[in-house]
Amino acid sequence: MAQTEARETATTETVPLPVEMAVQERRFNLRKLLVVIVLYLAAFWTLVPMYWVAISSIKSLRDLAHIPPRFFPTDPRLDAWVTIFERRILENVYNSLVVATLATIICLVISVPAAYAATRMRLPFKFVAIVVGLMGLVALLPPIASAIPLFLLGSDLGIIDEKYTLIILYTVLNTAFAVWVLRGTFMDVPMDVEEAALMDGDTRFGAVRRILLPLIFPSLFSIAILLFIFNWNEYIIALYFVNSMKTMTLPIAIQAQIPQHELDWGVVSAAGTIAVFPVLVAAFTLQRFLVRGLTFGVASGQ
Amino acid sequence: MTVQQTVSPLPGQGATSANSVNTQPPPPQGMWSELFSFRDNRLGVMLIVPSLLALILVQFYPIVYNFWLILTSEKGEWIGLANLSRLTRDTIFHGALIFSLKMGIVVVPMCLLVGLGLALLVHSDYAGRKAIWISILIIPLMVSEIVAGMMWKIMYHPTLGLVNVPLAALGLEPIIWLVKADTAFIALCVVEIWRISPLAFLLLYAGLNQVPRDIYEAAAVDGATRWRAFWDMTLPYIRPMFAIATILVFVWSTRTIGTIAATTQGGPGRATWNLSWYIYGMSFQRLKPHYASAAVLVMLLMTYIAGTIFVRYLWVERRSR
Repeated sequence: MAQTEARETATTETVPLPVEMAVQERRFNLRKLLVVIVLYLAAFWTLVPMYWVAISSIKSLRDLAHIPPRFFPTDPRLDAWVTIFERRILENVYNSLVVATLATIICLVISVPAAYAATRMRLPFKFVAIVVGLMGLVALLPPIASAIPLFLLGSDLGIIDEKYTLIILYTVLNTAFAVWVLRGTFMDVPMDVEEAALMDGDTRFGAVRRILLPLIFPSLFSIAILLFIFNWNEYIIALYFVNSMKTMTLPIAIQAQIPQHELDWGVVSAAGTIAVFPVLVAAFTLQRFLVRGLTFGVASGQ
Repeated sequence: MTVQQTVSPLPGQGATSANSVNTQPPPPQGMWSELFSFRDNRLGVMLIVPSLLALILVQFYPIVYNFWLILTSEKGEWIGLANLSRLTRDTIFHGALIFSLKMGIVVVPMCLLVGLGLALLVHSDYAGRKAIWISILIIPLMVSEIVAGMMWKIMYHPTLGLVNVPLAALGLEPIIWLVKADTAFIALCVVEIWRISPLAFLLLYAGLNQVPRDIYEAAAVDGATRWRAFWDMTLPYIRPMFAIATILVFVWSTRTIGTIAATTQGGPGRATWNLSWYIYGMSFQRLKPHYASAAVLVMLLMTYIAGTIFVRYLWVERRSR
């Protein structure tokens, strides 16, 4: 624990070196100004499509038809939002929420024990190495490669267009990734504390519940959010497995709303805004975990 | 369920199992017995099995089934390699393959450049609140493909979109980006760079965090310039991350399907069909899953070859230094 804290402070508060400080003092203003300007430009480039979509959803028809397009709506309306709710977008949101949440939970229930066993238990080394190696490898496979066989299997079994099918598929599609990431998290926690608890007569389950889980809880929470976002965004499998309103998730609904008529853009913009909202929350929650995980995960994995 | 079942027989056993680890006889020698000697830990195996089953169901079953699909016709008759040989004569497939590669050639270096630039800026001492910059810059990574495509379709819209505004300010004619083959290609590349460069940024930023800071001190004592320090110390250090970023960016750019579905639908004509869109179109819209599987195989091979080349080139070279 002390070790991880030390690592954290080392990366978050980078102490400028004497030489760099000298350089800094000499050209402080110009360099800093340039860096900040470029960063603001990058932020603008990143955020502008999202801003544009959000703004398009509340523009009046007159504003939408205005040439050149207006950066700020003069006469905000909620017509598009009323229309999108009339088109039962809430059902799609509900489907997405149910599928993404359940798939995330089940995925964690499967993969946490596996990651625990792979890092904490005495297993034949080669077995673990092979399983974990394969799991890392399959993260590279494009989802569309599994989509066709799974779709054919699904049609044979008659389970296309069911919510539980989506839940099962999303669960298993993310399992390899989840085990891979969780394994890194578990390896970060030193084993001595748990071993001490076991020596003191605690059960294995007790040691996990009282010592390991509280330590990894923040990472577990971040991984859950990450998996949720994957599921919330999932598009390719849904493309094959969604046929009706009963199962239609938000990405497919958005595709269906992309307009044929020229000025109908407000409605799909509103739907897009709904879809992006959890992403904004997730980005701010996850950045620390992602940077830390990638920094130390890869370093220790070598 | 599985957790309870597997954990319940354990209480009371903890202390003994921790002590008995060393007293157990060594496992029998030989590779296979080493692989499958599970007697010492049944619980551990039971904990791994559910994930293993998931892996087999979604990853290995489809790959094996793919080979079966390739070797049979749409009616399920054995036709050998006919699907593959048909693929080599299929001009639509050639177009899609070339489009994917062309896109990779443009998108991968651009994403790496943008990502490296941003990573260096955010990592520098001049960037104030790093957490906020990182949070903002990684947002596109978490936006659904289809939503990203939809956003940019509005951006490219001739009258509603923002992209043409600067052109109009310069007195140029508005470009209708998505209806002509060459402008549509540029437009899609921009969408992909917007969407994927944050991945390169995130990986390379993490790579920069791994560089020990004291080596710069040593270099400064030896009189190295900033540029020289970057070229000879920073770059070699982040090389493995660079390899990973290159592979992932390439893989992400070839598997794109949502952005195409939202923007061009493969049009004009078939100018913007990429491999994923070809596979989707063949399997789902034209109902030829067996034939499409041959294209899946090509895509898998491409991923594999690219991965191997990048790892070899970027990783091994660093080790041999």
